[in-house]
Amino acid sequence: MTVEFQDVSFSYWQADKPALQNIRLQIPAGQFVVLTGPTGAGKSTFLQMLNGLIPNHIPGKMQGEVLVNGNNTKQHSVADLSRQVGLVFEDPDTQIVSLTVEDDVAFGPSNLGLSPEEIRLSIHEAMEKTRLLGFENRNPFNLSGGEKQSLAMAGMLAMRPSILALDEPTSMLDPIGRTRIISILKTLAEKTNTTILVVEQNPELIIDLADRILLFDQGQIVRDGTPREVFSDVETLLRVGAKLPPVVEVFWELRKQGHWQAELPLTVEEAAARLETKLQHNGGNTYHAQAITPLLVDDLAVDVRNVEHDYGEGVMALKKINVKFQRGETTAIIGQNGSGKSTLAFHLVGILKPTNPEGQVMVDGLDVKTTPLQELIHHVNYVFQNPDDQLFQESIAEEIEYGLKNLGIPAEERKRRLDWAIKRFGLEEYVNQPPQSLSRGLRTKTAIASILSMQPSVLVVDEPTTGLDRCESLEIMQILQGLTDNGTTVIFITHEMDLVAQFARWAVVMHAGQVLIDAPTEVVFSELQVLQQASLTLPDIHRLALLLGWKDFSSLRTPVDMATLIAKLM
Amino acid sequence: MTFLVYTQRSTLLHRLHPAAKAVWVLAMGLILSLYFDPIPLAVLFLLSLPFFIAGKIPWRRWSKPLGYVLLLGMIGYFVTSLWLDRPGVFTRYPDLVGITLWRIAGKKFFLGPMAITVGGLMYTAGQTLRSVTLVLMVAVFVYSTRPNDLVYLLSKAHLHPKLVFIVMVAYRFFPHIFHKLSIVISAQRLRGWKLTLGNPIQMARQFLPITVPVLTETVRLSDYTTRAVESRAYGSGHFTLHHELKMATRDWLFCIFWLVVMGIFLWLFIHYGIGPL
Repeated sequence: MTVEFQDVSFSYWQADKPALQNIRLQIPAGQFVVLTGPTGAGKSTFLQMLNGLIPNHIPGKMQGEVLVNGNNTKQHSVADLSRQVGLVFEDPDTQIVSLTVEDDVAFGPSNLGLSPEEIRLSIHEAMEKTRLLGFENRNPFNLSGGEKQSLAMAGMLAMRPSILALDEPTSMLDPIGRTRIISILKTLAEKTNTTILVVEQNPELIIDLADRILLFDQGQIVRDGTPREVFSDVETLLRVGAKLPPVVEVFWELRKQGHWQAELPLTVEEAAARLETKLQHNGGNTYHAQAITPLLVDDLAVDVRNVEHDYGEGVMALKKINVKFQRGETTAIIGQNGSGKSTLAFHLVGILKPTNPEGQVMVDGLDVKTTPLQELIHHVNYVFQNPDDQLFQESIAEEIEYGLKNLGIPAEERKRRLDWAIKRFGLEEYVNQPPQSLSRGLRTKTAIASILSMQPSVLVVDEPTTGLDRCESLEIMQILQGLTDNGTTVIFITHEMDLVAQFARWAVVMHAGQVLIDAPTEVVFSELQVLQQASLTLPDIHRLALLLGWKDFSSLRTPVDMATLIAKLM
Repeated sequence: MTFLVYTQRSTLLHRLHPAAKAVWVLAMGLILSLYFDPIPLAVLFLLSLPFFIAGKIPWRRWSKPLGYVLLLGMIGYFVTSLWLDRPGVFTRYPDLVGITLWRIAGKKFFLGPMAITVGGLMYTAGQTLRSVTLVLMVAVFVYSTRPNDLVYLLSKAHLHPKLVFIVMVAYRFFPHIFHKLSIVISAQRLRGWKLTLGNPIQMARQFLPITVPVLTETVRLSDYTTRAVESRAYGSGHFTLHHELKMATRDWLFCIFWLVVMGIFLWLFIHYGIGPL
């Protein structure tokens, strides 16, 4: 066996409960294993045991033994085990140590003291496998997210490990980056005998590559089997809060409604093949979705006119942008990394100003260019992607009150807004706890609550679901969507197309500093060529509808919608 | 702070062996620590200038941060120089202190006497030249030296792996932390944060919203990077390079040139007392 866990338990130093409990399993060579489950379930802890980071580097109490290719990880240093296990972390930026791609790939073999010839050969092999040949002299920090993660993988592969472990390698990537990483994994799985372990919150991305799925919950492996075995046990998956592949969700809904008794399909292609015969029999492929409801266009919260932004040295991030945001609507800004989404969002709150004289951003009728920031933040505000960029107080209550105090809000009104925010975000239990001690989901909620209590009429949120599991993501998005009931305009940046389908009434697609389309989400999803130009992929339910040959499927929002429509056609 | 980042280019400085550049930095560092007189410092700056130019540094990108360094340095040194009109402050040019261009405050002033003197102006000029030369030299060194080469060099010098790691992380993450700083400042400004005048404790407390998130990020980054480099066998023993790193003739000539310059400046300092003001 390549990997063997013998009754392993582990508790982090000063933690209340164990991160892993009584793990007993064996992984043979060449197996492709996907680890899934909610955040905090123990998946990352499991991976960090493979190369001995636990217990050699990270303090805690460990019981049991972990054997990697027969080597007990307690008796070998992390450096020794790095010849056997390549561990790739979620954030590629923390793994890149050199300032050229080639040097970075060489770092591991250099540390192993290999000869220059061996190092050069390892570099070449690793760069070939990760499709980085030709990038040798590039600065890693000028690479795209997918390329950076490829580089992190190359750095590990250059040490020729027999096991490659990846901790959520696609979670911080845009759709192009994800496609790239999955394609590399596919090649590695098909053409090498490397044992691959991947932690993935969105199992549908790699379900067709997996030999085995490990479902984690509260430090235990609650299901261990083939993808079909694990994803057929929907009750368990729902109980632990793991994300279901969207097609599984569709067919589970059909089963609940009594329309589907057969095995649940796992992939879009499999689902389409199964449905085709059923729906053809019923003439289902002529289905047209409901008509698009027109939105009011005469009440604008934000009006962006002819905005350019030149960062210098030939980097034109925005090119004559014109875009309007409807008051009281939820709008998604989508596009690849580097397409200009964040630059545009920074213009909405005055962090950046147009670099062309005719560029203008109007928020609530105020010109952002000339309105002082202290006044502007009463009208529009911004929540950064990483909640830790703003949290610094000793309790959640103080954190939420901080902005209010700066605005000079009287104590009574502050108390009222604090109570409202705590209740709205369900933070009652944590109100006196330091934000840094809480989970990423709670920190994100605190960050949004602290901005929202300032009562801006326009709220811009940058990738609010990064680092969150499915349940946490849906909860945050439902809160954001609910804000529009009070007339707040919500603009969010995301790469998650299923969240766009479910929560955004409007979508702005950006590509290379330009707005390709600014329209209701239904319209955007029907413009396949535009999505292709922006390298965006449709959510799985839309892809399924497309494979079924439906003419108009763009108004589909959720897997439940899809199931309901299919049920009507059966 | 993108000027403090290694950039892949093909220039004389990029091609030089890192040890040769280290000799330059050490020689210059020694001279700069001894000299305050702006005239020899100007000579030293002029001697270094061709190498700064040979590095083909992107002046457009560098002019702004260097401008800030120059401006802040000059203001700081100038303000300090206002109190340098007491006898005995200058040993080599004691008379200069007496040439007062403008007396700002007399002895009864609660901060003591303040004046703009020729000596003070020379002090300002000397200190500014030291700062500019030092910042340029360090920036050019960082700009033209591959991090892996630096790790190799420091390992060869038998520096403890932990110390080498600190240098490497600083080298690599300095720009990242500055980027993070600008994000945190933006995030807090959007929550109404602004600087107001107050006593030193009040002023320090005003920086908490900035320093806490930046320090948290620094700790996180350093922890994750430690895990990442350990996972890549860092510190396991002998570090090798995948390219040849040998001292060529130009490297020896470069070293000899700067050792000679250092020798001359030391000789002038010891025998003629040139250096202090």
